Amino acid sequence: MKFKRILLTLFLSIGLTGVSIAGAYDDWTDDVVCMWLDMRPTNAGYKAEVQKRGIGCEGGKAVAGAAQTNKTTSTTKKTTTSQRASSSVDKEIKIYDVAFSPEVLEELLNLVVIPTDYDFSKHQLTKNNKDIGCRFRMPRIIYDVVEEGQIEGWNISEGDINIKDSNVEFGNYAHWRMGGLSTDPSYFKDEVNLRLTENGHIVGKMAFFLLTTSPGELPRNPQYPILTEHKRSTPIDLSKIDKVNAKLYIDVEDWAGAVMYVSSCKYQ
Amino acid sequence: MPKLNLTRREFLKVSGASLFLAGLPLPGFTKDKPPGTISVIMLEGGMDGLTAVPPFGDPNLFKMRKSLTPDNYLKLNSFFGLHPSFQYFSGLMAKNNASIVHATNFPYTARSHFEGQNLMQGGGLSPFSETSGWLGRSLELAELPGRSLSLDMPLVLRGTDRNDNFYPASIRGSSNLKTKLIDMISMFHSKEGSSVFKKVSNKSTQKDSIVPRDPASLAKYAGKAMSQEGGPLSSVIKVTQFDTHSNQGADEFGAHGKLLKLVDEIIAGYREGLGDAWDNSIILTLTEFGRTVKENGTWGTEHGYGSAGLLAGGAITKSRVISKWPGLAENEQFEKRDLMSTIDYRSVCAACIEKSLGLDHDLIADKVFFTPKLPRVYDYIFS
Repeated sequence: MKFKRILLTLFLSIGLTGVSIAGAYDDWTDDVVCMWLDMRPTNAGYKAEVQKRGIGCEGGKAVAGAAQTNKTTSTTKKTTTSQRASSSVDKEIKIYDVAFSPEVLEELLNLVVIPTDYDFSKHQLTKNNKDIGCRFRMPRIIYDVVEEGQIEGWNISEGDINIKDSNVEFGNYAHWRMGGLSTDPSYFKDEVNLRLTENGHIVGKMAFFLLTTSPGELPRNPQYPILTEHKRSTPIDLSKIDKVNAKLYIDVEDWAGAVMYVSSCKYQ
Repeated sequence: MPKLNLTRREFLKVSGASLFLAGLPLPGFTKDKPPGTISVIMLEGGMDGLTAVPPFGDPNLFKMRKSLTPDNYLKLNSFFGLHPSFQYFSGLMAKNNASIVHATNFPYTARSHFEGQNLMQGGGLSPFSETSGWLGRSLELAELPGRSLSLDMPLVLRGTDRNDNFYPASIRGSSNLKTKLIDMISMFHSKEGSSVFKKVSNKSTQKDSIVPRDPASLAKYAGKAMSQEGGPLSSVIKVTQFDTHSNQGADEFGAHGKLLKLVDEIIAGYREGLGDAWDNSIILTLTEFGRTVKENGTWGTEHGYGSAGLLAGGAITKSRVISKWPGLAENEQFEKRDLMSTIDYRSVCAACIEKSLGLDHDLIADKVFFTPKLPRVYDYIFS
């Protein structure tokens, strides 16, 4: 009797072990697993089973991996189970190299420009080899009323400006007073591409804020006017460093622009 | 009570009109600097891959899509062309900084916007099975928080409680509200709730609340933020209204063409903003499904399956079109109507995560996309 009990216990425990080793969903087809996942999408058991089987589910039905084409499925299935998942590379994918003729290539490359890109080759740049620091202020000029324009009585930007070789850069004190994005100092640092010409004009492109943005108003993007050798400008005369009093006109729009006054220059 | 008469399609159009950008991390939050940045442009409504990247080498293209294929496409090679709206993108292709994966998508064929959009963001095994997104889970795995610039946290970024969201609406100028009100409200809340209000209060006065809201400017802003030391590592921008059932148009002035132009401007915005950080960046598009191969009776297309994915960034060093072209003949189409998807786009996403966040493909396949056998396409894109 005792021996029979031991046998029964042994038999039952083997049976139970067998059940615990076999997964709860092992006898379910892929479609059945997906059907249940579709009905209970957050169920951790169904999700784990789908993950374990490496199948995808759509509309309650199983789909194998990506493309659901017979080709892809067979390719994926070719990967042996002993390999890492990462070695599952679809070898039927083809690379179509991009090939442009030299003319098209040149044209396309010219399309990738940033707003401050400027070709200085048409200018004779100055050969100044000293570091020069100056002050600047920039009131707006309005052309609405009189043709030659009216210079406003306040500065839209002001601060310091540095000239080294022909490079013109704004200093740490340079700032816009137009609110909105203009309060971000990076515009005076990162979005300026200016040079000084031999005859004392500042040329190139820079981020420019012509309009004020009030608090709460939608910020406006900067404009990128081209600074040229303006015929009305009084250029920077570096030969008389202590007497620099330049007045550089900047055209931005038909109705308005700015005048940049550069003065108080010193060798750094 | 007034009745709101809004059809499902109108709802999609209205709700999809908003744009958001995501993934601006909290300064100093980043644990280790990963290899690069990853930006996602979600194209909602179903972008037509056959219009965006016309496979003119397939003899069936012009037979089936007379009014949908632009005449002035750019020939990329002997088989694929590029829509004329992609001016900037074509320049990036010339610079070997952009690629295209064609006949691809997430494994979803039921053609529902809601399900498809959920799946492309969630990256789960079926729609609505995940409460987090594939990018959020990736950031969590890499132990890197993101920050969302939107009223809601987009699903694609959910997955780590260290993520934060933000919307560019400055209340700093409102003298009545200011931060006092928020501070007062926080006093009446528990410690945990109070900290949330404190966060809100801080946000309302921070400088980066000044952001223009057009998508190209948002992209530039995101790029600029991502280029900063300790800046964000990921961002998401959404473009909607690709659901062109009628008058889809072929060229850059058509409904689809204008949206593709917007995508082009967003990519240009990213390039501009990223500056030197461009070299380690990757930008990829997502769409919930492609559109039918044949045009319908109203010069548009219906919801389909396979589409094209656009990839750009300095992390790409050789421009190419990557495809296992299934063909456009009726017997080659999915259910005799759609472009077949022959490349799982999750693999493309996985490759971009691997490149930008430095995670192992097996880990991404298993923990992000729950598909351990997900094929690896990294070498096709980045080698």
